[in-house]
Formats: sequence, structure tokens, C-alpha cells
Amino acid sequence: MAESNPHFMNGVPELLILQILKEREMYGYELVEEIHRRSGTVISIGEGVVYPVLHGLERSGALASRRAKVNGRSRVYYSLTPQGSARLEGLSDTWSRLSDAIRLVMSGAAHA
Amino acid sequence: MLDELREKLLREGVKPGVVGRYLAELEDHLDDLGQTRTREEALRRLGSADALVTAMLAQPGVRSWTARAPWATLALGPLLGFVFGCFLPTLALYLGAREFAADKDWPLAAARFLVTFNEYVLPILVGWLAVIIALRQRAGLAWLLTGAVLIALLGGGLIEHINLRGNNFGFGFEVLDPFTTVMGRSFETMLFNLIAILAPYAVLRHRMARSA
Repeated sequence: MAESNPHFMNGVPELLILQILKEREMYGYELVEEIHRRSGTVISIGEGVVYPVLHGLERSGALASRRAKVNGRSRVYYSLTPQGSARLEGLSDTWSRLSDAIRLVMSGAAHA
Repeated sequence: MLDELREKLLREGVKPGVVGRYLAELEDHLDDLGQTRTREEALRRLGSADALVTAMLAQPGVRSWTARAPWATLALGPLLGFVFGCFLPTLALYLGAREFAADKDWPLAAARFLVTFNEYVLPILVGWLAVIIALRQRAGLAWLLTGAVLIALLGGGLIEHINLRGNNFGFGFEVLDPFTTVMGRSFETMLFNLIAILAPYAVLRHRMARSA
């Protein structure tokens, strides 16, 4: 497993969670597995960290949750709300611009 | 590890409801991880208690009123609760009896019961409520003690009268000289209130410390 890189992780869990939940509702473990699967070993966060982010997004209205029984076990499923979609759009935009700027700097193609 | 996390979160002032939900979801997560991994590996993947506390505290709105304003929930709130707890039922009985049972005897018995309840029982019940809040949210003793002393003093000197025949009711406050009465309005009643409020706190706090 890759080492955690906390200095670069501010806002990243939120972005990843919103992006993945845009496709379908999931419960916490499922969501973490999906982040691992899609990011390989590059992004590593303590799995328990996901829940405070989920709860915070729910409190702010970006996510909705519902409890459901699956195979005899109670799960809390999270899904994106319209407010969450708007937030994802804003975050994606910010992240893309930041990523482009870093790429420019790293490639040495900044203004001469 | 989850017990340690619970204690840390509560001591940091996270709302008990938020802590309960978080731990329930972490337990489910651990169960899922445990299907294919050892317990140690599952706990390592979950993250350290300190990292999880930091992640929780980074979220807005998770800290309780007791953590942010202990003076409000442990001192002012109980005090107002006691004042309104005395006044509102008295007002309701007074108005209700006058309106609907002016010719009945039971309002007199109810008034006697209410006066006794307000003077002797209510201060202790309100104090216990503050104790429950303080214990549940791992609050410090200072504001609880302040609130308990205020309620014990006010409750110990409270005098209430309801006169349904004379159409009036009122509240007074009187402190007699120490050791002049046994169960009357006196310094001893205040002391009794204070001990009755704080004794469960001391016992339960001691038990919690031993089981930690």
C-alpha cells in the first residue's frame, strides 16, 4: 500500500466521493473499495476517514443517506443530491485548473 | 480501538449522536474488512484513533453545545429549566383549575403535591439532568458544579404558594438560619440538594474511570 500523502489530500476525499456517488448510491465500505480499485495504490487514505467526510457532505445537503438491509446486514447507503452535483461540478473545475497549472510548472512551460 | 476512539471523540466535544453513528459504521466496515483480512490488518486500514479524531474534528458542526458553551448547557440551561419547570406547571394548574374545576376538590390536592414537588424534588431532577449531560459528553466538572450550586441554592430557598380559593399564586425565596429546621427551607436543604445532585456524578465518574 502507498504511504499517505496528507499535504496533498485536502479536499481530495470529498471530490472522489462525490464523483463515485454520481454514478450510483453506495455504502461506506463499497465506496472505499471503489476508490482503491480506481486509483490503484496512488491514493491512500485511512478508510475510517471516509465516514466523517460522508457525514459532513450529508449535513451540508450534498448527499442523502438511507438505511437498508442487505443479506441480513444493515447498511447506510449514500447518494448524490442535486446540491451535491453542483458542488462536484465546482470542485472538478477547481481541481482541473489546479492540475493543469501544476503540470505546466512541472513541464517548465510557464511564462518565460 | 473503537472504545478508545469513542472516548477521544467525546472528550474532544463531538456530539454523542455523531459519535454513535460513526462507530456503528466503523464496526460495519471492520466486519466487511474482516471477511478477507486479519483483525490487525483491518484495524490498520481503518486508520489510527488520532487520525480518525482529526478527520472528524475537521468537519463543521460536529461539536456539541456542551463542548462549545458548557456554561449554557450545564449552568444557565438547568437554572432556566428549574425556573420554568416550577412556573409553567403551576400556571397551568392555576388556570386549569380556575377554568374547569372551580368546584372540585382535586385541584387543592394537586396544588399541594406540585408545591412539594417543586420545592423538594424538581431541583434534584434538574440537577441530575445536567449530570447526565455532563457524563454523556465527558464534560469537565467546573460548569456542572456551578450549575449544581445555583440549583441547590435556589431550590433550597424556594417557597411556593398556590391559593386556588383566593385566586393567586406566587414564589418566594427564603433562607433560614442553619440548623433551625429539619426539612424546611434552610441551609441544610441546600446542602442536601447539592449532595443529592452530585453524588451520582461522583459514583458514575469513578466507575467510568475504573472501567477505562
